[in-house]
Amino acid sequence: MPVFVDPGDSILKGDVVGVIEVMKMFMNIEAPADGVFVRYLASHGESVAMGSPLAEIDTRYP
Amino acid sequence: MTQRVLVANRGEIAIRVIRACRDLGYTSIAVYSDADEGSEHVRLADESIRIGEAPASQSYLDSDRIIAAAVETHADAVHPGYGFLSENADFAERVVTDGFRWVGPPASIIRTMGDKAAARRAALGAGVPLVPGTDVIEGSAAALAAGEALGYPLLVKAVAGGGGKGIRLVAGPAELESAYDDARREVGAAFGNPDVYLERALLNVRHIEIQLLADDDGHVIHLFDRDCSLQRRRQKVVEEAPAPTLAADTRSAICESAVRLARSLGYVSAGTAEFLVDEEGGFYFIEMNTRIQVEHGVTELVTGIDIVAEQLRIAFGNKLSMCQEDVRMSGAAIEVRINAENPDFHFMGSPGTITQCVLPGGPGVRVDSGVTAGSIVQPYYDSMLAKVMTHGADRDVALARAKRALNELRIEGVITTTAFTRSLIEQDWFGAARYDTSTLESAVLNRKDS
Repeated sequence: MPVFVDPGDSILKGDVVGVIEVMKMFMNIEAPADGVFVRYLASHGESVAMGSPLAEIDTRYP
Repeated sequence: MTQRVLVANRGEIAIRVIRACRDLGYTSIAVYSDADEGSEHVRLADESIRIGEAPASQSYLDSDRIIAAAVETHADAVHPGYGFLSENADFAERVVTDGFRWVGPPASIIRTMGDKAAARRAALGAGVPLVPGTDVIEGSAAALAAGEALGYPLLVKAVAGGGGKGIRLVAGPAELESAYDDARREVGAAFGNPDVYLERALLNVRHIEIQLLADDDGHVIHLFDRDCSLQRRRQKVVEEAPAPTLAADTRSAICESAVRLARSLGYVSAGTAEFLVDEEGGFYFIEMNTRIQVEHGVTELVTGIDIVAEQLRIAFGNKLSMCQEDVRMSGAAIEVRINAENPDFHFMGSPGTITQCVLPGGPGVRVDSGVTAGSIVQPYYDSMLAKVMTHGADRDVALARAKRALNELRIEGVITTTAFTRSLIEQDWFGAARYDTSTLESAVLNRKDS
């Protein structure tokens, strides 16, 4: 499964970094800020709880 | 020997089928995934059997496991409900080949109607009016030529699939090429068949559908119409019967067309022919659903006919219990779907545990629900929790009862669309039945802006 972004990629606020499925509905996950993508915190197909972090973005060097 | 029916579904529709089995004296057998072990449909069925893990692909959508469950429980028939495997022609065929009765039309008809281009050809052959459109389009040059002939705005639509996937609205020739490519990519990936065709986009139209019933002896009847124009992202939200603005002569012409189509197909079981109807009363066939539909209940309320029981009886070789002359519409009925979704956040699904569940009651109220207090709303399946239906001597009475019922409804623990749908049916345009297929999307947009 191709990932949306790789570690080290520069991303802008609003860039799509993933997709989440709930009850057959799909929603894009958008970056909340500009920064450098560090890593995903959930793997493909994993169930995640509401409020759990999905990815890490380093916002120090936008 | 009592008839044994495997109910290959979950939630409210599984319960609906289980209730019909109980009324007929048939034995119902529920299937459940690991996530659904404690569900209401399992509790209410006569027997139950586990079919796999929580994800639908490993349980409710796995035809091997459903067939194995039917074998193990010595079922005589399989009722697929809606969604999941209900419109999977290969599965329907296998059910029959493996010696069970299929509660639905023959696999060949499911296959024809599941292919939108083939369905259009069948309608054309039966003399049923179609939305002006093309057959499958090969290449963007051909699309441009066809678009020129057809006129804009138009829709690029997928031959396979459903649920609005692959549909692109195109305002003019400049957008057509990319819409054509996008749609082919999307449906090719989703359904393995990239074929698309073009259809004129009709504006200010209502979505009207005709409920059909047919038996093995070739008797085909209609149970009149429903208006399902209130849709969001092509998902119906509120439905009513009869269609409030349909003129009597248009009604009889559409019903007659739907019966003619079903007869030409050799249709058996319950089915629905869907049409778009414009302000002048012109009507155009869009597609046929070869299964029971979510909104069948409003038709049951106005006709007094138990459509699911008829489906089951027909599957066991019985003739229809009534002829066309026996079918009468009485009063009006409205259905509001209650979903576990957050209207304030993109209608995102809201799984969780239901802590409180108070369903409405009183005169003219019917609730088909899949949940109760303590039920877990799973993230794996669709978000519909319950259907609140009301019936009255006329539309005003049915509407007053719908408002009353939604006021009484309390579902806590998950976010629901109760307040959102209540605000819809309280709008003046709904009271005056002044809406079409674009009204709900605009209402949602205005809501965001305000």
